[in-house]
Amino acid sequence: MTAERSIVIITSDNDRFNVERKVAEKSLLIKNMLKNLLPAEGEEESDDEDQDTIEVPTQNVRSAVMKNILEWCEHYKNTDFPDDDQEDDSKKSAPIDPWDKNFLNVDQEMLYEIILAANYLNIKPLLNAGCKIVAEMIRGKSPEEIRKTFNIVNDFTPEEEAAIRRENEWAEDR
Amino acid sequence: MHTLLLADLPLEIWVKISANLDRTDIFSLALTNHQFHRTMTSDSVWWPKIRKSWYMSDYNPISLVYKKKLKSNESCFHYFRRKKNEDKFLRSLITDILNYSPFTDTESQTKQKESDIQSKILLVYQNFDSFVPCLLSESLHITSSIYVSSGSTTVGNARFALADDFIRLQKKRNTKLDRIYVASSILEAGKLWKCLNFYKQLQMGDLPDDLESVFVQLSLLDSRYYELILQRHAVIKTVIYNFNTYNFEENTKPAEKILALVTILHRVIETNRRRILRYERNVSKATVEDLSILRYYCGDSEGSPLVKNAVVAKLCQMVGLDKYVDINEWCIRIKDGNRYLYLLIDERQMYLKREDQVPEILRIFPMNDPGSSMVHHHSTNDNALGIESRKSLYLSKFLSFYDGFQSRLDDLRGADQIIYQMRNEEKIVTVHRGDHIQGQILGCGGYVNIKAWHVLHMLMTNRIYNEESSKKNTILDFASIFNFPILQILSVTIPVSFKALYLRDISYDLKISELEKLQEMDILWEAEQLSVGDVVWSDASQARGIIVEICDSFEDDQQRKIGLFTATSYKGRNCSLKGSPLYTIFFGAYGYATFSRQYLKKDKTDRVEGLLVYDVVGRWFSHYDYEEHKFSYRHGANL
Repeated sequence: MTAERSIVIITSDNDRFNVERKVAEKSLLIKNMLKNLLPAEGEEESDDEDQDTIEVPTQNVRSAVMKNILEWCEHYKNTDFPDDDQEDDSKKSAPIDPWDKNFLNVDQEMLYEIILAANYLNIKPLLNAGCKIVAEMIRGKSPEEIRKTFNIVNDFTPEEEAAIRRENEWAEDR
Repeated sequence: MHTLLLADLPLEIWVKISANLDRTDIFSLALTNHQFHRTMTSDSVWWPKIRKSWYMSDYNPISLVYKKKLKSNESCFHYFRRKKNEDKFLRSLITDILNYSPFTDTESQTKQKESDIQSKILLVYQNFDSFVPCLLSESLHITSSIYVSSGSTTVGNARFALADDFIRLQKKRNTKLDRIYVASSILEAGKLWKCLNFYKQLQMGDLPDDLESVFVQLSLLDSRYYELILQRHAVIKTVIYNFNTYNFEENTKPAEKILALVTILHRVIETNRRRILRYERNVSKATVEDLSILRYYCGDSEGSPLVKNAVVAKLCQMVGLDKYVDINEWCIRIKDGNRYLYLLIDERQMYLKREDQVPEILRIFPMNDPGSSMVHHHSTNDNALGIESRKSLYLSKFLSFYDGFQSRLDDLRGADQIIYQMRNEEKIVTVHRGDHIQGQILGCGGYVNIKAWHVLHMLMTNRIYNEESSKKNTILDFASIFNFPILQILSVTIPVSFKALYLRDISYDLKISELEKLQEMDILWEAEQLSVGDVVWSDASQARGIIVEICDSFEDDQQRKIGLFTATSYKGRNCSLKGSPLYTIFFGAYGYATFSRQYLKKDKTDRVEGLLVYDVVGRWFSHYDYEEHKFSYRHGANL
């Protein structure tokens, strides 16, 4: 048996993170990548590569974000999430895990970057938690409040806005 | 550097975010600017919501396909809005029906309301499928709520309500029993209409591909049709999937493949069967429920040989093996090279026999009617003949399917036995059913409405409902046939009788000669006054039920019938039956029974979940009052 090769994740700004395989595999993208790179047990290793480390480039994620992502992966490294995303529906209504909530208590830009990275790296539980946080920030707010919270510039004319409001009136009562 | 904004998130993320948002929040977002408006009205955002809410509208059980029925140029967002409005229409119709009150309105108002309700109901029946999801949620079919929570993307994971879910849902539904009753009445009537239309279709030669589809249509009579139809979907899909991924050797014979298919089918159904808590093992007499093909799929019943064979034939057709298979009422004939093999399936196992091992009488092919056959291996010449014989086969199977069986709930009794006995010279009635009380409701509640079937049967065989009358579509005929439960609600007699019931003098003059009897009675009477709506425990039948009627005696059979009760049964205060009034109790699955006082105890446990599954409770009561430990009468406010 060959010794466990260490995994190095390289971020878009060329930072290198040394991680345990278990942690890295929280990302299904990396997990699948490793599956192809690492030979199955007993097979001959290809010798054209560096024997000690496997480098995983992640062009879309910058170092500050990756640091957060890896913190999350580290925390959950021993948790098995059902990878069947079909049964997610029942969990959709479940409240956000307090640890996740605290973990995602970051500024808006970082939150979006984490969501995008989780999507890119295919880390479903983190992605879901992030989406729930955003939904929570939107919930119960008026359009004006939403614009304020998220720095959205209103480009509707008053007439357009009134027309849309009229169109959506049916939704008000059940 | 450009800062990342909320708006920069891609659509796929927005789909996930919006799944966590109510539609009012989605509209607020859509109102912020043009870009959000585009995103938030896009099909990607609304499509999952449509699927979740109106799956049953667009599901086709014959082709096993779910396909959204968008009008041309209609976006998912507009579809959502249209469906929402349809649901609103239906809800207000139910409110109209409940607010219909000939006591307070003038005659002309009443007439106006009546015709209004009738025409709206007709509209509902004409577009029945689109109203099904709303009717299901209004009638709160207990399992339909479970389906929603178990995920719309995985119909395969649909499961039955278990005790926990049940208790969780209980309080949600108890506030509007009368709405549930009306909604479920419309639902049942609409299903009957569908069934009748299918018959009409058969008559006109518009035949489904196989016998299984005929049996599925017959299951419309089952009050749990919409839950079980998804179970069927899951079973078929699972079997086909397992079959297609099975590694057959290159030269596997068709007969062996068919055997594998049947084995997979039975394994899948066995899994379902184990999942259901089968409390009914002591019931020996088969009921119509045991015939229903959907209950065979879900593991609730064994299924008749013909039903099983029809399922096998359907599956063979789906995997392209149908040309080797033919079925009849007893066995499946499999073509194996130049000989035939016969497969017989009973409750426990299946037997594969050679021709000489099977009695000739079981080997009549094609089945039953001359020239008829399950599969389409007719040559082009006799194609017309083939269709004609298939038609007569389907029609005869359709019409005779439920013959000679009784339902668990009809005729004021269930499949359970009602035993009349004399005890201490008193006539008492008890209900016996297995040893568990509400168990089978959790497993597979509901029943086949066999009475409705008899009405339908009459219509079909007497050709009352033929092409001509359906063209006219006369509201009156239609309503009188299908809206019977609704009409009952509209009818004046029930509230009057209930009024009489409530306003009567509650104390009875007990004219009892034997002193000891009197004392015994007194103790019971003083201990607790029972009234309509009380939940009681009956020691005699070991069951919990609701008092739906109190009367003096059973002088007349008519008086015992629930709902037909009239004030005349209170003509006197003398109790002819040993001086005690009789209580008619609705036991849910166990049907009705009548007891005298000493066999009843007031039950304050609030464990009424078993009773709440029965839509029919809403006919009498509006909700369960947890403070008073009793059901409240629907028209209570008027009294």
